[in-house]
Amino acid sequence: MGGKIEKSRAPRHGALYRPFAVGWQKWQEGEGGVWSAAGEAPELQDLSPGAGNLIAVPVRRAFSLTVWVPADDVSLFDDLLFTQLELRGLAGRSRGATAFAWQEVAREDNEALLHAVVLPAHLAPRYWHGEVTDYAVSPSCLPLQKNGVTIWREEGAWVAAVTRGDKLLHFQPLSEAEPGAAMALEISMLLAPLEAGHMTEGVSSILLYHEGDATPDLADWRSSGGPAIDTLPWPPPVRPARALDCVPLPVRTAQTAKAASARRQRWALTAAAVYFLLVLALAANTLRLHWQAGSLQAEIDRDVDDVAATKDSMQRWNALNAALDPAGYPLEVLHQVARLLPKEGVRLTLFEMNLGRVLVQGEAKDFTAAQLYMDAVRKTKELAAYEWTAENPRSLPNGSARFQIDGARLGANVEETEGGFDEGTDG
Amino acid sequence: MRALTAKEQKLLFLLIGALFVLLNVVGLQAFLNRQRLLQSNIAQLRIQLDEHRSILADQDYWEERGAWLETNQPFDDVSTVEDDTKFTEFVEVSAKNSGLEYTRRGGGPMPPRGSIAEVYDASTVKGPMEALVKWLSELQKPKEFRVIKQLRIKSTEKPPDVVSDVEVARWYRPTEGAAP
Repeated sequence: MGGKIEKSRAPRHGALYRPFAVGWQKWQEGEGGVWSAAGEAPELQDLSPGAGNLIAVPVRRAFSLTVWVPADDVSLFDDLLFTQLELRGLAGRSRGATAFAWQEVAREDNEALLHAVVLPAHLAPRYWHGEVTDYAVSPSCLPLQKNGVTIWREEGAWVAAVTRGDKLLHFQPLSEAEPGAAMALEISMLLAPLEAGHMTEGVSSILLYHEGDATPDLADWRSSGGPAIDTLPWPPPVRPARALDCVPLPVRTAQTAKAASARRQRWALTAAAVYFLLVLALAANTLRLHWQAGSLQAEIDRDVDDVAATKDSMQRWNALNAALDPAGYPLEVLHQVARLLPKEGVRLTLFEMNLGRVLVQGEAKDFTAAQLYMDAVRKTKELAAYEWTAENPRSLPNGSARFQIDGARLGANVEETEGGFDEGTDG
Repeated sequence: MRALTAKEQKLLFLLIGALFVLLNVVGLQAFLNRQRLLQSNIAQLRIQLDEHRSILADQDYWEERGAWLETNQPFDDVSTVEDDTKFTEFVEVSAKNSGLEYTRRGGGPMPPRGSIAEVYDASTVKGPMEALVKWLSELQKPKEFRVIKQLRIKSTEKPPDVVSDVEVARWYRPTEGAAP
């Protein structure tokens, strides 16, 4: 969760929330980078921060670590710095559980001077907001004294920040309650290890920001022989070049939960859209079928009169067909049956016919003659309108054969084939 | 009211999900049934339309025949027996004129069915085969709307004489009163 501050994303030009002597201030950046105070409240949450804003974490709620690292490869800085944090007990249980960011302050030979900001794993809820993803430490939001120490009051206590050039080198809360000789000594002690580590370029001045019109009494400081100190009124904030490349862990958790929730919502919306499309497709298909049925019905209805008239003519004609079609007249059938008789050897003894059936009985001189005649009747195309069935001819004692052949007119009604044949058969 | 615990929320979600699935299954089933019904209806309508197209393809053919029937099929005043008597007399006289021995077995009007008013005559005729053929050809001609419903010809001991049972009917168009 660490990273070089210069690499982090640029903050958006929304509101900036920073701690001051008692409580929190909200500042709004206008056109041309002009800041205007937008409110003060004892608690950050009272100022309703939101997405796109930047929160300045108080000095007392962050850790500052400045170290020389023996490398000039920027890609190694992250790991080297995390090792330093682990050595000092500032790292969390894992790399992922450590919220830290860093910036390169200076470089000499093969060493780089890095300043790291570490946010505690359990940062109290009053210092972050789940919707805000841009954070900085409060010194980054102040116009700091170059190559100097800047002192101001936050959350009821004095804090100090040290710069090298115009870059933040270190910050820490002060224990003294008033800017007197003791605080001058405390500042000297704060600077001592930095100077001993060649981290500063020589602190040239100390600046104290005071709130209200009254300048604090610095007689004790000055009489102590401490470093020179100037005072200025509490200034409007400055926007850091970039926000920290990390967010407090609870914010990350909240953002992760929010992303998961958004992902779930996207899935739900996608599922709902698919469901809606399916229902729509089914409904559209049903409507299409309705339309198709309606269209077919309309087409049928359009011709219904013509069809009814044609059907009526058809039915009338078919009903009268037995009277109208000479090919079905009994005389014609009789002619066709008689036409097939050989010149001698076969004679008909009975011809019986109704509207649907024909029965022919006769005698032949022998079995073969009878069979040949029956085959001829069955095969003649003029009588193809009938389906012929016949049993084997019956031989008589005198050598002759008696035959019977039965024909059912194709397509005839059952009623038409019934009646009249029982009495006539003499077989 | 107490807020639901995570487990209760999960159970509630499962219950709602199950209800949703159940409703969808029922709805989908109804939907698919409706679609099947529509598809079956469409298939029937298509068959009907094909049948209509097939009928209309022969429209001219059948209209011609319908017109012919309108022009040529005689009317029968079913409220009187005048036409019936004429028919039976014709059958008997024509048989005798053909040289056949005519014996009536029955006859009379049949209940009208559709566009047909039927009167029939059942008889037994006896005589030469040639006379029978002549009589039958005179009985049945397309424009006469007469039909031989049943015919039974049996040879006798004295060929070419035959005995024949004939049932002949006349199929006219039924009407009440004078023909239109």
